[in-house]
Amino acid sequence: MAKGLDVGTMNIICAEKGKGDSIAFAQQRNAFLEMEAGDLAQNMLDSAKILYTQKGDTISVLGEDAFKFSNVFNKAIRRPMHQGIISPDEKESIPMIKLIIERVLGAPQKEGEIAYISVPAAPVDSKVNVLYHSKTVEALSKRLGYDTQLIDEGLAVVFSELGDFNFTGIGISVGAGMTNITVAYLATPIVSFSIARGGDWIDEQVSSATGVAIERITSIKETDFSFSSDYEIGSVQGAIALYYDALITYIIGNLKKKLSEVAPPDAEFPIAIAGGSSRAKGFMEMFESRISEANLPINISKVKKNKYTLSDSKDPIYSIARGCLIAAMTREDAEAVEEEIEESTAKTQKKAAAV
Amino acid sequence: MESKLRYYFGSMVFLSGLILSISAIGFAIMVHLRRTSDPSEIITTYGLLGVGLSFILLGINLMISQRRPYGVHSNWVMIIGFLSSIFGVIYFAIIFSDKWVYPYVTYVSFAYAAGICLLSGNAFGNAVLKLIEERSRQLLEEDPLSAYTEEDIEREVEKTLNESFSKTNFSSFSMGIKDEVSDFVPGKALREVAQAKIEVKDSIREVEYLQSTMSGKVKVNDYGIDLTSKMLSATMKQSEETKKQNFTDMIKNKVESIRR
Repeated sequence: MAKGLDVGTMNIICAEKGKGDSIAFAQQRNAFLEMEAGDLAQNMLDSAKILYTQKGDTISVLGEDAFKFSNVFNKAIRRPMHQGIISPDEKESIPMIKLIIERVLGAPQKEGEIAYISVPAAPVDSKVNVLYHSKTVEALSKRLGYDTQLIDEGLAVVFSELGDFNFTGIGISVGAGMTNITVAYLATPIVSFSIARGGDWIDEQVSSATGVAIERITSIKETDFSFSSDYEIGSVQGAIALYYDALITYIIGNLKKKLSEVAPPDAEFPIAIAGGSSRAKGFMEMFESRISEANLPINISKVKKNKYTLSDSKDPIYSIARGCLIAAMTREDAEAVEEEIEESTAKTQKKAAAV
Repeated sequence: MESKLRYYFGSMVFLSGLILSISAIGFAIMVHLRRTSDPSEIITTYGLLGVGLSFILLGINLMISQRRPYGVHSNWVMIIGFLSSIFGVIYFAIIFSDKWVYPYVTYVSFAYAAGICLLSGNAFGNAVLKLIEERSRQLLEEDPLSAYTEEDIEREVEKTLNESFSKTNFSSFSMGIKDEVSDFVPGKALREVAQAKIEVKDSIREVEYLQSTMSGKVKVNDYGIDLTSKMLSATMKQSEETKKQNFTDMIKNKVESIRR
């Protein structure tokens, strides 16, 4: 059974084929909170079924619960990743990523089970090298016994969202740490790059502009913000809208610059947008309006809404994991076909030898 | 600075030699030089030509002279060669009028030939050495980083890392992905509670689409095509049998007609 894994700055999500016609997503926040250990605390965590690890006098609460406890205890959470890659300041938290990956990915059903993992493309506006991150994540899942392959986040969006367009189009993943963009033609990437700005960048900018804590900004952005509403000048929501607009303009500007460096084929390119930071209400409309003003050197047919905005889960963060799963299942099928051909050739050869 | 000075002197001497040689030729033409010409004309012509050729070779030697350690030997060879050739010319000028006979002719010829050989041989040797040294200097001075693009380096690193993952090439330990002995104690929920999963209705048709986009082949389960193929196959078989039957009948008819 093939699997797709999205290792994001904020979330680690695994997608696998569910029962019947369904996909099962396992998700954990890529964060942890350190607390002082004690019998009372441990009993409380155990009874509340909260994920944690203990090392000496320190308890590390993992995943979503880390955020809840952070608000309760007013303590800053630790995030092993920053700007889409393993944070250079948090290298000691690699075991935490390992734990979360093990948790969501689970053990393989057979040795060498195929798993596709999303990794960011090389950023155009930062000297950050993604190789160390990619290879570390690959090594962590290989340790579990998977036959691991890496895939660009943007291409995973193309696989997930642009199947109806022969996998031709632009896949954009607006994540927390990074924005990944891939322009693909018939499932082949023409341009693939990332921008070291995402949801976290908006939070940081708004926080420094308004003086409100980053955690509070994140919360407002995720629950109490919409592009279609009018906000007062000086309000947090107004600042969020302003920086969202700046991010979109920046993404489109870089896309235009990159496209001018290549000669894309004469075809219609729809745009698919995914990622946690594209969840804000009205984001698509805003993006569509900005892209129509941008005059890109390719023919943009439409801005496609994320598949899951129409389904039950209504969350574009699953798109990347789904794209990875599609890539993994495609490879699994291709390998099965190859095996069948090899078997039938061997049988034919045996028959011929017998005659 | 020193090399610049040598090059300056070298080119000056070379040009002087060239002018002397051309003057000699010009003089010979002017005086219609022949075997029976006045000895002073012959001495002037060949003296100028001999000194000119020596200067030309000395100039070349100065221009491509070597630094230490070869430089010391090379300079000595150059000086000896030049002096020998000049001695030859001077001796020729002295003896030509009344002693141009054996063995004096041999002394002149030997001295001049030896000098020219030494100068030209030294120039050739220096030129070859200079060529070899220039190439090695280029290789040494070449910036190793500019020889590779960032992509090349990244590809190389990726290749090495990929090799590290295959157990046959490197041990995983050497590349720092050794399983560390973790002293984390997992909590109860981490050990006992299974990971929650969200199931979403999705037939994932994209897998099929991607397969056909990548391979260019389309897999179909079409009953109509299967049935038509079977019917076509049966018809073709029937047609083959009919042809065979017709052929057999024709042969039979021919045999019967022959019998009749």
